Amino acid sequence: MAIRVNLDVMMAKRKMSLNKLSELVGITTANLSVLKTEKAKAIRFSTLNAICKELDCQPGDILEFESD
Amino acid sequence: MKQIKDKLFLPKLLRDILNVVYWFTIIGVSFLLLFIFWLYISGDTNAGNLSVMHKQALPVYLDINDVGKIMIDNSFYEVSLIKAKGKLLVKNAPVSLVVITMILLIFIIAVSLYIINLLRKILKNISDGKQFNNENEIYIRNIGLIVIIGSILEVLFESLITIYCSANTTFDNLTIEPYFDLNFGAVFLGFVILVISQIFKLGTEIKSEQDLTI
Repeated sequence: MAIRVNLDVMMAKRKMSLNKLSELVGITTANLSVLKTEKAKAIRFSTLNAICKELDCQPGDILEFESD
Repeated sequence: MKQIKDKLFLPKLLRDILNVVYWFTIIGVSFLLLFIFWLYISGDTNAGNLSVMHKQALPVYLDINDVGKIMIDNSFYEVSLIKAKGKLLVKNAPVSLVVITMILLIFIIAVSLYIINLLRKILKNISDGKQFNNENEIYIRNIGLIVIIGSILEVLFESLITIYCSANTTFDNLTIEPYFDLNFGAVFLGFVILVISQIFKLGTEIKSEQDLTI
């Protein structure tokens, strides 16, 4: 897939751990890990909304398109 | 949560029933195998208690060479009995025939046990909340294939018996005719089960996508 997930970069910038972010967003650590490791097939707008709110960023800061 | 548990009650009940059937059948087959082994070793065809085992019934189709009458709308019409499905009862059958028949019976029971085992596994997965996974799709597909292949093998086997009996049996007023009677209902059922397995495959793919949707 050509969509890159830069969640770990944003988490490092905001100095937030995976456990803390998953707690704030309301999803399991396992699911957040699936997203971070680019194994996810889809993301709900509600989840993206919650992540951007907690990390104070734009969707483009987390998701990036890379042509093959 | 209670509603989900109530929905899973029926698969658990069916699985428990199948478990009982499965283990009773295994015990029965074990005794049957011991009996065949003893029979083969003893070679005694006239043992009093075994007389019932020496009457082997072979499925055949019969034509009765006699003309009868049937009354329809108060008039009589001539009728003949053709392709009547019956069984040839071989009295005081040789040990070899008894053993062959028992081995075929065990084969049929083994296949049935395999299907029961597959159903147990499917019901266990459903009871555990794993309805749509690769395992269930493969199990259901295998059941469908066995039903189709079993129907074809059954007609081949009965045809072989009928062909042999038609050449080697004499009656005064009966003829045994080879007749190929495929159980189309069972074959159709097998195809329906295969279609259901494909639906489960599709369900597995959809669930996999849903599981990886964050």
